[in-house]
Amino acid sequence: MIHFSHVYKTYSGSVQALKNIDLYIDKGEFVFLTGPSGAGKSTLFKMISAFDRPCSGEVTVGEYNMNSISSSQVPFLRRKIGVVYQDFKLLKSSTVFENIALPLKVRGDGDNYIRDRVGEMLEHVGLSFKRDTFPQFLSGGEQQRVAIARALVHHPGILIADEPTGNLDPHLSEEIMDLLDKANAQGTTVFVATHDHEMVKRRNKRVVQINNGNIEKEFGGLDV
Amino acid sequence: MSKAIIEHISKSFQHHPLTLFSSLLVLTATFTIVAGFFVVTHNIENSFQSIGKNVQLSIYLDDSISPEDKSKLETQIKALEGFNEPIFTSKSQAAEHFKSSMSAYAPELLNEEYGNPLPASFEVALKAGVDPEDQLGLLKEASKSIESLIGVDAVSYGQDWVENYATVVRSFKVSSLLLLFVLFAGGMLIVSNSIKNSLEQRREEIEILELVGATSTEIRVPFIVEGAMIGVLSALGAVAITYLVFLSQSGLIQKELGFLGLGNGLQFLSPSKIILFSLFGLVLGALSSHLTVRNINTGWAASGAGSVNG
Repeated sequence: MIHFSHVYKTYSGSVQALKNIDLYIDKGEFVFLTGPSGAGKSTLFKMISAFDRPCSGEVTVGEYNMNSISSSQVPFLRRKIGVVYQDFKLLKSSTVFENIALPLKVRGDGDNYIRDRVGEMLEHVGLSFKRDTFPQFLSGGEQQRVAIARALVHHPGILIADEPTGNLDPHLSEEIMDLLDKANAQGTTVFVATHDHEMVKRRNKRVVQINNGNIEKEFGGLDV
Repeated sequence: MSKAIIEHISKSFQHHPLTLFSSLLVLTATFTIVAGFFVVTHNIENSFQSIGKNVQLSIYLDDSISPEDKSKLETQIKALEGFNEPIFTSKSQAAEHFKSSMSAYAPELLNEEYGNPLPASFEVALKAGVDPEDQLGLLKEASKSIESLIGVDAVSYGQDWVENYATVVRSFKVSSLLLLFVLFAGGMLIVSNSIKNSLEQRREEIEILELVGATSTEIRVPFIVEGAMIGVLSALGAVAITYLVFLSQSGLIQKELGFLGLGNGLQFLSPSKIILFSLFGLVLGALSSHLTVRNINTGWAASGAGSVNG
């Protein structure tokens, strides 16, 4: 599903963000990516969502080879991925409903389908009563639930989450991880970057540990 | 217009009213200068046309011209392109005209004992609607083709006056185009700055749209439509302001500058010119927005361009 083969990324000023990354994530897997700040986690995620590309090596996401993908194909790749960020990235001038509906609108789905599907997602994340609320009136946990609903509303094959619980307290973090677990149980491949080692231990999933642009360690959930 | 575009524009008005209002205001002011300039040039051209109506070719005949040659000459004058039918003035008619206009000043002139020195002539005026810039060329060409014919003594069209007149018309047109170019460039800068502001304020929104898979076209088109709307609204506003100024000032101008041949009255822009002017605003707005937004959401392309092999 996601395959990195001998991937290097160097930014101007000779900053080596990724060095010889070899990683394979199978369809339906749940994988944690851990490592300190500046380890290369965000660069890796940017490559999966086509916001960056490798200097050398090969990255494949689903049927897309990121070395040969054209600019015009990039939006269509992104429509098959759901992305969640630490800072939620919600449209401030749009309601909860409108935020969640965005991927469906972009895809050109009909109003009836959008209404029903967004309704389902609102129920799924427990925010039906907030459908017409603007993000600034939501708590951090609620905003992240909206972001997760938006990332899953279009049934993506892959969900990547970059520090999704970074701004949340432990209780809310567990709630968010439960939602990601649910998505994984329904067949979505989930790849989560986090600093929270305690949570990683509790979840018993595959863990990829990255440091200084290298994969230092990789181990399955039962070995944690 | 699609729902997404309407939503985009209504959000622009809701969330950035000040930016939009200031852009509209500045662009309307610029367009008012352009519209005013069009009205002025239109009326000056009309005045040139009315002055040009007096431009004519006088073909003086030899006293010895035979009736056959005179008839042949008349046929050739009639064949000239861009000219009206010639009017013949005989020697005696010329003397009569002269006498009636000069008798008060010099009654001894054209005393019959000295004979009549005035020649017979054909007067041929340019057709109405000939562009003032083409008049000199037509007169020169006609003069050249006529002066060598049998029975023609001299051809005159007030060469110096017509040449000066043509120079004025030409200079006026060149300076009009230059000024128009400067105003066009200024207008583009204004719309472009307004869209840049709008882009900066919506940077996060654009990133989110990219994130959920919106195509470049889906992201750019609303901004281009927004620019086009700013352009067309400003153009219409400018036409309205110019019309009000025109209404309040035209009487005074006509009275003070009547000598410029504004006898038929000052004219405002015709409906077709107003439509063209609005289209001009629309194109200018859309074009400057297009130039501003063409480089947004280039994260993918930029990452390739900036990468270093490692």
